[in-house]
Amino acid sequence: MVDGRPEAELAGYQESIPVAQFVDALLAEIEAQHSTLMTGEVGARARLKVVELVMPFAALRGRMDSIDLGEVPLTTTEVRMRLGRVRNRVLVTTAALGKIPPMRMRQMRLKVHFDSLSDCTGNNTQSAKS
Amino acid sequence: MATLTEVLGALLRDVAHARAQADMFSRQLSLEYLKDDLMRVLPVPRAEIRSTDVELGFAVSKVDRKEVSKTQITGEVLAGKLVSLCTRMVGLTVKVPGSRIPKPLREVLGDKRPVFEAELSRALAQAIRLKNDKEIDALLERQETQITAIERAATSALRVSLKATGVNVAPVPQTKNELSIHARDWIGELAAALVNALDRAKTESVRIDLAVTCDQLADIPEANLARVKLTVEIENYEWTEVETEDGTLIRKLVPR
Repeated sequence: MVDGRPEAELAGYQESIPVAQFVDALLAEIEAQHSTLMTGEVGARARLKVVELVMPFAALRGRMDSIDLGEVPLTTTEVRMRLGRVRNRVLVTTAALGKIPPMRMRQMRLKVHFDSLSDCTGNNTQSAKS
Repeated sequence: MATLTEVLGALLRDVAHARAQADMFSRQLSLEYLKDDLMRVLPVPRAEIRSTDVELGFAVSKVDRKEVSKTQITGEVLAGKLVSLCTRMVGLTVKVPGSRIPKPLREVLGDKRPVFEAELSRALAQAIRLKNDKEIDALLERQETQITAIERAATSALRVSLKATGVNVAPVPQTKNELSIHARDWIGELAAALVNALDRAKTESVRIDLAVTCDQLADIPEANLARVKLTVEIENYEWTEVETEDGTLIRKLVPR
């Protein structure tokens, strides 16, 4: 036993990440790129208008449905609130997903619309069971 | 391996670069048109990219997570916020022995103010310590016990600093009340800054490495691939001359 977990389980546990933290990190990466561009000085600037992400994942254990976060504002707090009840850890790396049977694979969808950041209400159809 | 930020940045840069290259081509073309008597009267063609959709497949190859030390981050935020408490505290109303009229401490301090503020900052740093997660959580939840502890620590730091700098003042009835208000306001400010810093640290503690090239994705089953679809808009900027307040002409890019 390590940290109260059976050793057989530990490998999967170490490869996993809390789902909310993973989405936070993804959004922060998108936000970082958007912010960088906002301060740039160029003649013609390519600006992100919409980013849609579809990510495969598998729950570390238990049952977990696909997650559709719909349209999310770029404030991670809001997303964390939507994912607040989902405490699951998920596997996202190719190495980890390679060992997962197809029936356990799920998808996470989210869409960031930069033109309506302030009034994004989103169509939250997230459903997740732990 | 690349991060999502790097991938997005490279795509956006390339879209803007494509437009710039098309503009360079139009420039050369316009010079050719100018040389020819017949072509000169014709409009020079120019490609305009207004918006473009890019869809990219990728896979998450690695997720690195660093542990976030709540105590360390709290220590850093706290150190940065002590000046603000110090500034509030020199506005406290006090009385100089022998004088009937209470006045703000900063007026009594006069030339001694810089020395006193340095001493007060040091004393506050000694007195206000959030040693463990339990105390930090109590602060974030604005628990009364934690607020009272900080109020006491601030009072003690004030007493120590006055003594160390030889400033002879006495509290008046409103001093305690003012200190309590200042401490509570400051705790609110500190808690908000701490929430931001902890959120930022938590987000930055995760690094997601992506596989994006054909070679990297060749052996990965379709079902394990993630997809990102970007809608990218081109914004045009033009150089304009702007006169500053002192009459200097500066050139800057403004959106068209």
